Amino acid sequence: MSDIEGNIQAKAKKLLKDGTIKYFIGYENGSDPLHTTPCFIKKAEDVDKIVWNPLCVNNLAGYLTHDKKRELKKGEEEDKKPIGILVKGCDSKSLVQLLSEHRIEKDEVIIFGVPCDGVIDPKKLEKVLKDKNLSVNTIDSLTIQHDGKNYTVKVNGKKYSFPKDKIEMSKCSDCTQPNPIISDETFGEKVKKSDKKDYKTVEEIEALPLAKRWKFWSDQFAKCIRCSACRNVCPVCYCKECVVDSADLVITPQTTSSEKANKMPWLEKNVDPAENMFFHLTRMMHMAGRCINCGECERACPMNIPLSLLTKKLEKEVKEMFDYEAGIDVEAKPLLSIFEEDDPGDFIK
Amino acid sequence: MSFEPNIVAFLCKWCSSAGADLAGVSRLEYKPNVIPIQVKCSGRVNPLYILKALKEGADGVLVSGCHPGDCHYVKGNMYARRRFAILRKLLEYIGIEPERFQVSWISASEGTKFAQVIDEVTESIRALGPQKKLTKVGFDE
Amino acid sequence: MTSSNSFKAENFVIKKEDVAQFLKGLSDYTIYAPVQEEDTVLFKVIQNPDKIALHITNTVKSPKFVVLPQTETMLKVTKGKENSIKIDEPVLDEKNILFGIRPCDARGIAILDKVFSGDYKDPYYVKRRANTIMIGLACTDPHRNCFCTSVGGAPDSTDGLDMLWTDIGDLYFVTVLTKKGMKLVKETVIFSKATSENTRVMNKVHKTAHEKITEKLNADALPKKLENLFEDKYWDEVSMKCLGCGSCTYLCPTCYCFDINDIEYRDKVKRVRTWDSCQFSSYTIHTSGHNPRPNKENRMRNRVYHKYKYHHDNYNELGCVGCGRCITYCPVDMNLKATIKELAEK
Repeated sequence: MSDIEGNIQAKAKKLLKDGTIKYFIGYENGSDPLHTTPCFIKKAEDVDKIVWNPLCVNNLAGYLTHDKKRELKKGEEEDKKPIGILVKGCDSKSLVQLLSEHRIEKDEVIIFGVPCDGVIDPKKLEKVLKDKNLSVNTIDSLTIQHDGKNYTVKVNGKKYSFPKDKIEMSKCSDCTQPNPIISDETFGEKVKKSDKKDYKTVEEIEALPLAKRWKFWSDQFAKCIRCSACRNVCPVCYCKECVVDSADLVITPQTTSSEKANKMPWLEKNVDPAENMFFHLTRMMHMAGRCINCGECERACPMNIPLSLLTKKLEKEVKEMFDYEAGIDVEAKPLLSIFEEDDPGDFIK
Repeated sequence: MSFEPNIVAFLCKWCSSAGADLAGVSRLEYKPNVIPIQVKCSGRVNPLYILKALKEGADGVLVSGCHPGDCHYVKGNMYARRRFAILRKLLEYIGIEPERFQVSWISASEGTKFAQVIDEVTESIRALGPQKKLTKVGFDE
Repeated sequence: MTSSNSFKAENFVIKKEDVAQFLKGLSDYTIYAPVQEEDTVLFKVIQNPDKIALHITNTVKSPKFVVLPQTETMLKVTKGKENSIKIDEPVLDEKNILFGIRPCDARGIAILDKVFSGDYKDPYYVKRRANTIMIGLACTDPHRNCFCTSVGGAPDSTDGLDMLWTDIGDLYFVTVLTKKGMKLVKETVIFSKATSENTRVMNKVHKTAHEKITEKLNADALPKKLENLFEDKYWDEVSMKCLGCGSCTYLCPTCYCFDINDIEYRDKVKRVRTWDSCQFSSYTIHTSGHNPRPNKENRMRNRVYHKYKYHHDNYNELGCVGCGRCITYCPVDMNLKATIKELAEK
């Protein structure tokens, strides 16, 4: 157990014991040694479940809005105590975004920040281990240590070394925010990472001719099964009703039957290229100036659609056109509710 | 039969719709390919409308509002400009011809400009041919 | 729909290098098989047998979509002359072969059979299913998350299959289970009778696969246990990390819930049946706006109840085949195996 892990546990224990927080959101060991999973610790005696290691990939910030969407049971009273949450540098950007949109308020959360030197992509890890003839089935224990350019992975007592880019989440390679922007307590030393975002993957697609770009994206979106994992895992997709679920759109006792019947089905339920494209474009429009590129949508996608190529494009354009970056400043106004006199307008006749 | 594009135009009530009226009362001739939909303000146009129009088989979409500084609601068109800039970049990125979605500022006094823009938009979309990429599938003959 | 009782299974072998020729000979059929594209393995229509990826444990998406497509056009309505309307129904006479389907997924389709061609016969499903031949491939390398033996299945289960193939080195051991399967063997001359040595090797392969699945969950206890756990606090706890997405249900080989919508386009209408997921809030929302399953804990509970209780109440078997997809692909690593274990111990 690392010092960081121990300190997080101790602090969480203290806050749970004295009743400051209603629960603590962190990571625990997952269904297999290659995964960790989000955990919700409610009792002080359970804190030793909490782990902190390079397998802690999930962005937990989105969970802060889950309680707000929940309908209370009969007789249940809302627990208004703050929530304790563990955030990495990137996750803290999502948190800042949520705070700036007043989806959560600062006094509703106690932030445990951990500077992060990169996290492991379990899919990549599984692949490189397979190349070493280590099937996930036969792995009983696995620990990962980070040493500069490499990761040392100890599997069933035997050590293997892998270069960073082979097993790290791709979002980590050009991370400009390894240290939490906002935190009540920081665990561990500050980390130095990249100064500049790398948009090479996006530029490669931009450079393709139009027909090839279309081929690429239509093939990708043809795979989509519209499970909504990308939307639901997104920390800033917190709406209770989503525009793509037309059946869900607000109905009140005053809603007339004709209003219900004529409700615009923006997105149809059938899964085909046109509807899938509509879904993803709509999602992207709602992400503009809000997405912090945590890469969760891409990670969550069971069909391996490279969604971060879209979110990165969005980030790039928002930066180039409006010099705006999401999730940096709690006081920032939302991108699409402000404007500048000299915003780009050369596409307008 | 030559291809006649279907174009949906979202026109703001205060400027571009009035511009269309002026074009009409001035007896200007322009292409009949546009289906005008009046909205209160170009800032009222949600990107969903544009995507939905394309999904319903529009070959192109035009949004037209007041010139910057002239908005009846002071700044609705300025917000719209940001939104549309992003949408256009996204559409281009996924491989949709940028001409499929066009924006123009047309004031109430610019009847001639209205007629000219409609002609230009119609011709540029006619040159592209029918829009199939974002149209609902499975309804072809 | 399942193997006819009158048929007596027969055993053959086929050389691995002859498989491509066998498939090429089936030009009347649309052949679906696992294909690897980048990192994703999916059942796809194959043109080139060399592309088939039989080495992987299983595909991301279950092949149920061949008999129950995610989007099924039920009818099309178009305007005819003088205000009359014309209704077109789809012709479903395409003959399909599911090649290399794993026994768990075949059991999944056998479960769908009971739902869609039991008391009520769904014409679309029945037609597609009758036109589909399933060639199974016995599982030799079960994944860590597999638990088929705990829910009544096996790596060499024959439920729903027309043929079961087993990899025995240079050959595939072919157990023909139905007349439909026999027809394919007779059409081609590539198969030869299995020897007793072949059978011995096949049995050994099956036995090894069985031994690889070490964990046995007490899933059989669940139908009874769940009777009293509906209001249990457990659901609140276990669902806290659930995101409420539908990836578990959409990848699942036994989930069959659907929704029917009319899609308009200009003056045409298409009625489509699409998959639906009990994990979505729109699944249960009433027209009044009231939602009887408002929270993710209610919806997750429903998923478990349906598979381990309701389905059992109706069909006397569990509605889960233990393929483990919902664990493997869950974005937050929800562990159904742990849930089964915890519930069984309650």
